[in-house]
Amino acid sequence: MGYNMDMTEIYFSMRKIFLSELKVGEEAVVTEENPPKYVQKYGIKQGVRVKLLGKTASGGVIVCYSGKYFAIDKQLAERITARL
Amino acid sequence: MTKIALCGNPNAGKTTVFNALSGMNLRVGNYNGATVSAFEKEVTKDTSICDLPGVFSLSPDTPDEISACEYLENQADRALVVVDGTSPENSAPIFTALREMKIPAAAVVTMSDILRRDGSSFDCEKAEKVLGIRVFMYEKIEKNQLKSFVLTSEYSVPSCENEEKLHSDLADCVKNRREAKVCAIDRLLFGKHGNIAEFCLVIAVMLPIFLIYSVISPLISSFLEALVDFLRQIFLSYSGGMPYLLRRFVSDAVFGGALSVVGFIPPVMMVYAYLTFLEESGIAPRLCVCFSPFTSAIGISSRAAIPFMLGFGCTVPAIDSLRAVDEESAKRASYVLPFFQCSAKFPVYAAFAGVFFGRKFSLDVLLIYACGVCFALAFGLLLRLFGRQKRICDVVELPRYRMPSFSSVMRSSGEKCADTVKKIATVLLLISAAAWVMNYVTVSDSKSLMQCVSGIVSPIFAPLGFGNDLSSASLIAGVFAKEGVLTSLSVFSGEGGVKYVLRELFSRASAVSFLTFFALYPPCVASITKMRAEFGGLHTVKCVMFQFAAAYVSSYFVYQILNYLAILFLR
Repeated sequence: MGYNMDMTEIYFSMRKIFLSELKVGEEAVVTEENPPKYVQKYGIKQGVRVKLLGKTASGGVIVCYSGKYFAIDKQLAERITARL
Repeated sequence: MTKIALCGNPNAGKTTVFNALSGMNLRVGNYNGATVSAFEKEVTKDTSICDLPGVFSLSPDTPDEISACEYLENQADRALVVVDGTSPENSAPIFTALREMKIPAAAVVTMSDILRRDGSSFDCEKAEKVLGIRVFMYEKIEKNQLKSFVLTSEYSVPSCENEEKLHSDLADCVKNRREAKVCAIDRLLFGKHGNIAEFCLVIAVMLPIFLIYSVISPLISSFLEALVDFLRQIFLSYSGGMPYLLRRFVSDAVFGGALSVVGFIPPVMMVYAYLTFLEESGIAPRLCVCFSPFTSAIGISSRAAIPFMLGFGCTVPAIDSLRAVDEESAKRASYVLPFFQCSAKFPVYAAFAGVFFGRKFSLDVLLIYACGVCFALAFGLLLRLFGRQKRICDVVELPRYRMPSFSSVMRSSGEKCADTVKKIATVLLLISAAAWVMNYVTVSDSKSLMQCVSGIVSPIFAPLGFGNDLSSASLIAGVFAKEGVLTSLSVFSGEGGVKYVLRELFSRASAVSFLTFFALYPPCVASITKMRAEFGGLHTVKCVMFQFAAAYVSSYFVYQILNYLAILFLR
């Protein structure tokens, strides 16, 4: 039972999720191969670690990357995949 | 002539360095896109420096970024890269691009105050080794030394090859880097009850503008108006020997015109000071996030919220700042931008509200400004309905909060105040003079020139309830400068005063209809010229026609509804 629980935890910790699904305080590595150009130009591309700092009223996310905060809107956050 | 380009990430402090080098006072702001076009200035006989809009890399996608990249590629001999000391790794793409273009560079590191506050520091020597160029801290050298340092420093092509490696190497240049913390305001804004907090922020930000216009302004206005009237009386009592026509001209056109608008200089100055505070403190980008439901509803980028906010001051800089927004959004925003009521319209609203709504003066002015935002939303939705659908996705950088210096706020508002005084002394004086001459010169059948000219236009406004010559002529004057509406009405009224002429010309329904038309009809000539320069002639014509149609249709419906309600209640 304990073994299965660990596997489940490992599975969930490795699964790909969208940025919009992150919880406040969680960190994730962006896995999206082709984020839109206007996201890439801020340095948010495959392999970078982002931390979710909050959510906006309209469903967007506030992420921290490289000491800077970015507000990413809902539509975009629902497109970019990341791994916990 | 050697051209040194100041380049770097947005909001890294390029304009601050430029101002220190050139001794100028260009506008600085704590958000991405404060500088929207390249600005060049000669600092010595054979050297000029150029302040460029911020870029993250040299693959641009907004007009301001394109202009920065074009300057670097085609004109710059050297580059002075302004590096944000709190996140130097973000400059890595710029250094690798400069290496590819073989542009000699040096780097200046800013934000040392924030690093100090965080207990961190920047290792310049390490950065020099990594980049292969000279690197120095902005605050370690005095401002007068900066110029000689920048001019005499050795510039060399960056030696870095691998962008990924450079990224991590630059990140390592910050010693004792602290993990980013969210401040209390942002925790509230983007926390559990973010909806309420965002709504409160919007109200808190808008409230001072309304307070300035509705509470503080009447107090100061009455004092200044009394002062100008006093000067007019002195002039009249000491100018007995003057030719009659000249005496009347100075009394009616010069003093009369000035009297109508002079009282509004202090509130306009206060609004500009407040807008500067919002820009420099870092609140403006947060407003973009708060306004995102509104901007996404009308299909434009949320970054357009800053131009909309600036629109409450003046439409010209607001159009200018649309350069920081993607082209599609900027074009769509330009249709509704003039619906955000600029400060020049305030004297007209104040005069009408004072005559027709008496005690509820401040509430009415507040209502007019709120209506402007509602009209912008309604017509924006209409445009989206009939225009091409495009999904707008947005990323907004949220800079750290910073307390703006008192001197920079005062300098900015002082410049605007000087502009307003200059406008009164030039454009509005010309409007006053033209209105006075047109009112005085009789052409035929004892009709004045003004009656003949506005007689052609006035039938168009008849269905809106204000098809008289005077109001039509004042609306034409408003095309040149919005305050011109009141100035011309003041000149036409002669000694009776604006209040008298407003009561004579308008009923309550027609006054509301006139204000609706005035609030929505195309902006002043300066704004239209700026729009043409930014978006081209065809788009400007479309915008002007759209705004005229929006004003006409809205005004017609307002007038008809008010008349219907009046008939209904009188029964």
